[in-house]
Amino acid sequence: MAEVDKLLIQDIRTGSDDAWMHFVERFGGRLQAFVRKKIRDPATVDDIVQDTFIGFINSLPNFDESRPIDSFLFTICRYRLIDHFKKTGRRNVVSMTTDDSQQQIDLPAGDRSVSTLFRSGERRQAEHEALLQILEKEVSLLVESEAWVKLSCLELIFVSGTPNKEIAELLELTQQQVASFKHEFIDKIKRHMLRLGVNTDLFPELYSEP
Amino acid sequence: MHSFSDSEIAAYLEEDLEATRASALEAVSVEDTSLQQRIQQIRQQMNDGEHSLGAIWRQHNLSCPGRKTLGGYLLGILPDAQSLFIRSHIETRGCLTCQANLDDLEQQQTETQDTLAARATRYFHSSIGHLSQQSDNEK
Ligand SMILES: [Zn+2]
Repeated sequence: MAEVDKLLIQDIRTGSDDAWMHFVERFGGRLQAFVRKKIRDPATVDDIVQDTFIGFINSLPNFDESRPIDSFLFTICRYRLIDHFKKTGRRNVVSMTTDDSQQQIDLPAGDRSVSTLFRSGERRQAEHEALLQILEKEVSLLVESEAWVKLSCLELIFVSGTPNKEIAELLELTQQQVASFKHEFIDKIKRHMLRLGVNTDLFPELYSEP
Repeated sequence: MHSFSDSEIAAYLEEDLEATRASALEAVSVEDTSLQQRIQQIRQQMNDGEHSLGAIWRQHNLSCPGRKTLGGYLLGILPDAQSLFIRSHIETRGCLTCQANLDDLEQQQTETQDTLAARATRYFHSSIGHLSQQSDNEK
């Protein structure tokens, strides 16, 4: 996190009104824009943004200042949205599966997200942290070297799960190039993980071929 | 394009799938039982805390350009290759966070200062009480 952001968070922790005003001025617009993509009613949009800010305040004691504020806030906001849709009954794709096997689908999305974070235990948390650090480093290397096509290609492979053929067409690459970007990246990640002593079997994407 | 990848389904379950794709997924899943089963399965994997490289990348916004870069993108002053990356990131990958940041940057140009200040004041007043409480607790 940038120094200026760390200072801002420190001031907020002391309960400074000015710092909090500065914070909501800075992040209110982007959160509102995010929620508007999913909800039309302006009052509901505002409610969810407000809940996100309150959620941020409540998680301040646990907030890790080495992480960016942005993705932390958006994560809280997504949880608030999950809760909202759970309550209003929209987005109940999974409950559409069956009315008669209700037991299997009784895990509400909101609980699931929170529980995934907290119950996965320290070991899982450590594995997650290790992979995050490795990915962070590799992605920033691609940005620094301005390897934009490769970065597009890799995020479409891993983040969107787009088929190689489609990626090749979109980025005007050959399918072979797409496959080789993928293998090269997976190799790097595996090597880092071995170095850190993390079991690579834990990550199915490092093995499965599309 | 009606086939959905596992990554998209995971993003959907975390309210992180781009709006058009999310609606398409909802529409298709009403009738498509195999899609319904996949949704269940992926939800279960997430429940079990299974790791996913793509999800970690997405959740932590690892390839998201910063606000200044997005501003440069809006102004059209970035090198072509970088602009193409950002376009792919926002439109093809459908990054919701960056879409929101772009909307916000555009709004800052079009909305009056009064409107923006009123919004901030509203959010401030509805949350500041919680902050006072929180910092009292910490004392
Ligand atoms: Zn982004």
